[in-house]
Amino acid sequence: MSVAMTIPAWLQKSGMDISFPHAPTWLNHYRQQQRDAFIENGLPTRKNERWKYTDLSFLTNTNFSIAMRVDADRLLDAVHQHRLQHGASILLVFVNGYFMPMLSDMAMLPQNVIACSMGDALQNHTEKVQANWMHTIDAQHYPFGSLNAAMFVDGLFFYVPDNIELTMPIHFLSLASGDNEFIAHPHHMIILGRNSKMMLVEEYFSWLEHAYMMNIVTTMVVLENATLNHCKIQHEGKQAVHMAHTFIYQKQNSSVTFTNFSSGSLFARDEVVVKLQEFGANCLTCGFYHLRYDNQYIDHHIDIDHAAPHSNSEMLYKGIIDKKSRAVFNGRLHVEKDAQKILAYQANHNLLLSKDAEVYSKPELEIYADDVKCKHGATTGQIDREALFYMRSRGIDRDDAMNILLQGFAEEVIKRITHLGVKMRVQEMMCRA
Amino acid sequence: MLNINNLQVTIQDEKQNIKPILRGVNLSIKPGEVHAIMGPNGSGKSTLANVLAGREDYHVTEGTVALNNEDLLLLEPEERAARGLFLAFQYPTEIPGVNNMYFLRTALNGLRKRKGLPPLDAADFLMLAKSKIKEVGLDETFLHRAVNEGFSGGEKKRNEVLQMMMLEPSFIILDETDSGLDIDALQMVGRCVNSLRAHARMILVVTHYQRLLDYIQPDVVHVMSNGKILRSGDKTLAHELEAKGYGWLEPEVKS
Repeated sequence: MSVAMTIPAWLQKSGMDISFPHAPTWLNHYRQQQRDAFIENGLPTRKNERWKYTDLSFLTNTNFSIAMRVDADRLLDAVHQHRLQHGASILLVFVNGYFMPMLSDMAMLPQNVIACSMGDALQNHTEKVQANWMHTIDAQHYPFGSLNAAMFVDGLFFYVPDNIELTMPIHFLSLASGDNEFIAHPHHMIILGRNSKMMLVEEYFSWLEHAYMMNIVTTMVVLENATLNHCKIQHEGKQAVHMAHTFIYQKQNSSVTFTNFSSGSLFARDEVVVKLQEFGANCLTCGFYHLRYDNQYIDHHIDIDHAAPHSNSEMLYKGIIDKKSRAVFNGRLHVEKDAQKILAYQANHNLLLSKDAEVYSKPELEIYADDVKCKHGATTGQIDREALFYMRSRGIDRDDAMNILLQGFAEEVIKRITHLGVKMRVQEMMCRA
Repeated sequence: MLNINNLQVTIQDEKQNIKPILRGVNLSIKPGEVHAIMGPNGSGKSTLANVLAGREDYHVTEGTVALNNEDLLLLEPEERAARGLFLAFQYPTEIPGVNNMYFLRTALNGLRKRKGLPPLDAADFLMLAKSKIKEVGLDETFLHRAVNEGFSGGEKKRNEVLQMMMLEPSFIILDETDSGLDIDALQMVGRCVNSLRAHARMILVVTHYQRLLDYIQPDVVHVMSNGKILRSGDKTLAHELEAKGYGWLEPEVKS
């Protein structure tokens, strides 16, 4: 069987040769190369270690068409309802993977900061785009990343020059809308200049009841001494497929905090790949997931590569798994030979609320340097019956006590959110039993 | 009024063996009375306290428990709390991530709601909590910590007493609240319990030692052994036990 056979017919037919309007030659070449690599590798099967717990068979039973732009006016109310509370924010709205300046609010964006569609960026800031372009996505590891690279038609280009501190959060809001079952491949690039600082809230939301697929690639380049506080909130529709790849490149003494909250979608896989490329780069990742309906699947693959000395990293992922759902955590820590004086911590804790819930937790440490401190741990348990009885004996009824305990379990991750409006958004979404 | 009649309780151990713990307990407490239950380790004192509070691990095979003429055994633990029952735990549970003040406020406002009272707002609650925490001798910072997490044994017991003072229950069970406490803490427990002594309130003190009963003078003392109440008397019975130990009652077990 040829590997290409694993690619569902609808995907083959939908013509993977979508061209990017006015694309420069290097980009066309890149797209062609990624397309060939995707077709050559096909979709991963469960024989592939990285995809062992991932059942992609649903892809053959669907028929996603290419996402369409929708009328902005219809979404004004929805966008308004989703503004962050407790302070002003800069809002960048995407609908079905397309940038919607009409729905966005960039009034408070400093003049020298660039926020535009990838298309505009390729026309007006070609050098900046090309200089930061990630030249290869490994089609074997990230087949959907390659697919995105071959097919993307829009995305965000966000560029913060050196020495800029953005005082209000950048709220990136992705909505899905429309009647058809679509697939979108947004491709984003975010560059944070030297000594610059920002908070990015990346939110996915939809009230759609039918299936659609978001297949996202985001490249982030965090330059010397820059600080990025990145919070991702995934609350896609109940039948949605959310496939996300976030590649973070960190330069000297840069600092990134990445916090992920996932509770939506039927199928979600979040690949976070962090390259600590230079001396003193630090990255703290953490996440909380709450699976609450039958057949829901949420998968986190975190891959942190220490390529330089004195770099620290952390992975703290916790989750609540209810009903007949399945969660996967795969944390890979890689310390290269000359990367000495490393501190790294990895933890994954899960709470199973039903006998049909499943979790697969897989920490991986690959350490080639000798002066390294690494700690890791994983636990899977059930709700603490003693704590439940204790609370009930004080007059708190069972459901409330459960909710309080679940919130308590999430608190370790939620307390890391510094912005009150974001914290409230996450609490609304995560802690309903 | 509490009426326990021929209460028999078993527990299933890890090897799935069914083990009888209470073998026919009879006990009546009238409003305004303080009763003490003493007895050696493993006699069933703590089991009795936990069965009254509604812990699920126990199986009631026989007998009845009526609190103010209502069948207590049919009620969920939170419903028992709503009827005024409060158990100060022998080993209070740590609840990481749950703020002590939030926990207390949820409990208090939950009980107030069931009584048809409006909830206390944050400011009123804080004032009340601050005054009560002083009485139990804990620093205010304990309000902002996770429930019992990292508390010392004594601090946990003080936190139990704090909850009792806040919730003002009408039937209080103290399950070996004195164990592991120093003299100062013991006096505090005595002072707090005495401040709650009232004509409508029932108090049941489970203890190994007579020491706590110097501070909380009981109306009735019961001696429990092997799942039964062997003997009941006034507070002089506690002194007699302190002097003679439990051994002299053993023949009564056998007969």
